[in-house]
Amino acid sequence: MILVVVGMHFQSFDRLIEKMDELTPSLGHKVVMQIGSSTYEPRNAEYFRFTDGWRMEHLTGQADVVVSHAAAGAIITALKWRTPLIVVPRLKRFGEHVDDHQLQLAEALSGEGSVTAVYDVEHLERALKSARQASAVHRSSRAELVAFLRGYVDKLEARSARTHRRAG
Amino acid sequence: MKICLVCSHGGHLTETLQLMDAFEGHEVFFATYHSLREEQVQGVARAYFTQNMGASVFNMVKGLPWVLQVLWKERPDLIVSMGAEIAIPFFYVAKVLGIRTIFIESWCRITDLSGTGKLVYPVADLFLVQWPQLLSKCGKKAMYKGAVV
Repeated sequence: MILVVVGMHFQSFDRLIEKMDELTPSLGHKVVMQIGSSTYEPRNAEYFRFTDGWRMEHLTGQADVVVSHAAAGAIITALKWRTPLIVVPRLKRFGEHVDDHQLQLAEALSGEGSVTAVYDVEHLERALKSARQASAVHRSSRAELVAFLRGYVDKLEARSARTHRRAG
Repeated sequence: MKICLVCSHGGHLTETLQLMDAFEGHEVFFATYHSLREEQVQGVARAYFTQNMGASVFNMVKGLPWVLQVLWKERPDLIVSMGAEIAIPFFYVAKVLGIRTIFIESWCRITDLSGTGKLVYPVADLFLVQWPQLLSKCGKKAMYKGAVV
């Protein structure tokens, strides 16, 4: 199954939805799309607009490939399930986002080999053929961030406890 | 310590959920948008929901009474946010009320800060970015201490 994800963003991403719908009959895989605020409604693929976090996790875990906008949520979920991932950045000039930051993320992650980035939807079909071999390989620094925050919060708490004792 | 986690309902929420173990042992509650993910949020902590403010200044101003109401009722010691725009009213009200704030720029920002990041930078007590190369675009206060991924 190929899962297409465009997230919760308030702008549409018809460029991706329309292209994936056009490709659906020739892909030989079931295609399921989360179309969000997009205006184009797929004719060939199965689709829904929004769903809850568990269903997104479940679908991502089951998918052979995820094709998503280049956004943190969809990418984090795909990396977690080690599902091969193709990202297509939303671009400002097509009215898909407020700026072009998705381009930065797509470039950085494809540079380190974690995902396949596609900038022109005309190249999606080719990318889908090779993405099945790829796998997410991001080096995580989550533990460092969690440890730093825990330390910071604990220090704040100790400081406020001292202040309260003085005040009392 | 009582901690208020402020986020929009999509990727920013997913990022925030990656950090829950940093706040273990503290009382945590969410302030976020109405969505089909409400149950998922409530499965993690208590939560307050409001309408999506998008990037509209008008909606942020309209949302102010809700922000005030949540903060007045809960009196958190600390607000943590990774965006999006919902952080803006929270951080400015927190500044007035003397509540500490941590802003963590979203993982999706690598070479430029988000509009929200730029706006809350002056008032945030702690400002973190998730890519070291972003530090050159921020003031001295910004730090890199790892990422949610």
